[in-house]
Amino acid sequence: MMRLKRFKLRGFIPFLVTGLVLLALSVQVLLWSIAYMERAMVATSLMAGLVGFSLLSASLYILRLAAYAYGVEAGKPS
Amino acid sequence: MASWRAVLAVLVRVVPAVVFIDVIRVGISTITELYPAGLGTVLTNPRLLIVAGSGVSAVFAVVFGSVPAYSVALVLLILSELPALPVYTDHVAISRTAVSVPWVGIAGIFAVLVLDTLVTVYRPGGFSPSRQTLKRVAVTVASFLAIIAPLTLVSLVFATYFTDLVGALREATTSLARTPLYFIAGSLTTGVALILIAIYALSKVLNSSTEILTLFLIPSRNVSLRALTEGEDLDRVFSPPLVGIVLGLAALAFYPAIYTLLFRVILQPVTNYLTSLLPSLAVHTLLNIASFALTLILVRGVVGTHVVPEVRARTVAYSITVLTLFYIAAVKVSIDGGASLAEALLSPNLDGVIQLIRVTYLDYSYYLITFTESLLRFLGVAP
Repeated sequence: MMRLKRFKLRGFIPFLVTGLVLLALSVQVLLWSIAYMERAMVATSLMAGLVGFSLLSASLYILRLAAYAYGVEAGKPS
Repeated sequence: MASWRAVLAVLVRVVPAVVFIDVIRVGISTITELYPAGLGTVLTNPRLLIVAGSGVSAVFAVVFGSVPAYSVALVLLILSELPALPVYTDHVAISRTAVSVPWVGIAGIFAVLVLDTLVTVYRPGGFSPSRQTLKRVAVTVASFLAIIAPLTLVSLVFATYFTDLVGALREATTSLARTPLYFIAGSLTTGVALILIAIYALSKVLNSSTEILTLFLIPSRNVSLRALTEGEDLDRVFSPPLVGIVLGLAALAFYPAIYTLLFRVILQPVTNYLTSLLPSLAVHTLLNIASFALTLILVRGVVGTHVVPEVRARTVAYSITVLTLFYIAAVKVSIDGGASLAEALLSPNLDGVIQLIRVTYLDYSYYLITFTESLLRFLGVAP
């Protein structure tokens, strides 16, 4: 029972890790978009910006799921 | 005790008035800067128009005691102070040296938010004072700061990102001086549009980040369960980005053909009748819009907006519709050319129809170029 409880408390971790990885990727791609723009590659830069913001949106969505899962597992019913 | 409620209701309408201090200050400074160029320049300047919009929003904030109206007034004030909004006098931009930040309004928003919360939750007699230990107060303040600090950081990172991006765009396009792209990148409309997009994206990000941070700091089972079961924004269907633009471009490419088939060949008598009744420009505009809408429907049916392409009965039906239209038009062209009905049905004049469509395409590309050019002029992009 104790083991099950400990296992249940970690349910949010996969979400958290996926979200953080996507967040790091999105920051990387957004930085690339500035770098492309500085090399006067306008269309590439805008495309990188679009990709970066899509990744950012995805990571925030997954992090929100992680937060809800953490809230359900660790929170006290009030 | 009910008098406290009245006092709060008055305060929540009086305190937003502090933003007027900034509105009047910025308005007066804009007018004094512009006045040497003449009254006409003053009244049509975009900067002054934005300040005026901010004033209108501030009036709303005072009358209704509304926080959104106050924020809009503040955002407009800050927008009017941007270096991207030069003061144009007779096509010469006066470079602005001093940028005044609406500090009074920014400081006031905290008071406005506190008052708004009090008005929302205060019930007469529903509150009683309670004594808290210093430690608890410290924990409350610390957790508040722990939420506020990352959000401020996110805002700063956003601002830096957009400043760098727009700065690099300006730099990249200076080598293209006097070409349309240069004017697009440097124009006022582009700047304001970019800022609005940035504010929208930032508000989305801040909204999510607040929720994530708060739930990780203070986990609550009830809130999470309610969000998971009732949150409508969690049940999202993935839609590919920019579908609207792709569909619109596809419809733009195909609609001259549909227009020719329908209104220049098959329904030509109807078009002629309408032109005799109404001004021809109005008729043609209406028919163009109608055929564009029809093409959009056809394109949506054929292309499909789903991630995984699916074969639908509609796709087949629409393709057959277009082919049938083409056949009927060809038959009508050969009948008009003097053929009998049987001859026309057996050997429709396809070349004639294609010739007509070609003429429409040529006209249409000419109009498209003219329209784009005048649109760019209207937006202040083209010289």
